[in-house]
Amino acid sequence: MASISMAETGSDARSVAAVREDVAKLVLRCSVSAMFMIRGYAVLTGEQAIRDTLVRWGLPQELAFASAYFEELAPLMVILGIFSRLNAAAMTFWMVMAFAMAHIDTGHIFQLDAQNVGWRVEGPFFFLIMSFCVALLGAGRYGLNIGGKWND
Amino acid sequence: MATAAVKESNDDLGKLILRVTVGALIVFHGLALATGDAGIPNNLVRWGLPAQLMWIGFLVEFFGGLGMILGVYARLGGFLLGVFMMIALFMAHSGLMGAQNHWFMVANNPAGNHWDHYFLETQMFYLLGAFSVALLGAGRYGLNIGGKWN
Repeated sequence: MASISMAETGSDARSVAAVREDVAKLVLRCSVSAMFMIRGYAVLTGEQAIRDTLVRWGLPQELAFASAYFEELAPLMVILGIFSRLNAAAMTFWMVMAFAMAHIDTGHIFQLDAQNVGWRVEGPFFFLIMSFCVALLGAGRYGLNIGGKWND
Repeated sequence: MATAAVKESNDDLGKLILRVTVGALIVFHGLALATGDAGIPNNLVRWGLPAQLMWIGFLVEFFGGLGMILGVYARLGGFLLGVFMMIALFMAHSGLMGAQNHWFMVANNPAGNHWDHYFLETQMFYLLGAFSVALLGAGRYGLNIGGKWN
């Protein structure tokens, strides 16, 4: 009897920790994805920054429409829990390209922001790292759970 | 067995880079606050509170951030930073006591010629990143000080 109740306590303690992890994974993947989708919508409705960067590197500015996948479809699938790790890895790649093409040679990574209170590339860096964290941590339990080990 | 081990070390790596990123970036804001950034003091004064309360914010930003980087009471630091961000959003971004309500706004790109992001993007990253650190814990890679608070 005593051993049964101990076992139950043990499993309860584990499940609280597991729920905490799953909630954190849900919060992380939904927050980074939602903010990606807002930025992607701006790109698709004519925001020029990515296009300007592509032109500066001698590339066709139409490549900016890749954000339809990297900043809309991939985050949407991450939110839903469909191949979250793979899609988050794609979003990480997108941000690595953003740093390589727009923030390193321009010196942004060595600067403070306009108000001198934080790092200039704090925003892009959060996108990079949060996406990478989702790729590493997985989607957790709360979602459609499609994609097996490439999701959870 | 091998896949389980890989998954676990991926978990710990994710926790490490999450907490180091949130911690390292907020430490800069703590330093700015301690060296004269007027954002928080101005907001406190607008609410009729003493500007010296900013030093509580400094403690949370600087030492909470440092703890998250090192793995010292990382969960506690994350929780306190999350609460701190909730207070910041309430006092400075919710349309109260003469502040603008930023919750449903977008903001312009650096060139100023097109909107390109959610106004509270950075604040949300700190708020939700901090609470994620509180919920996930520090993982294996760190000083591991603080028991269940780490």
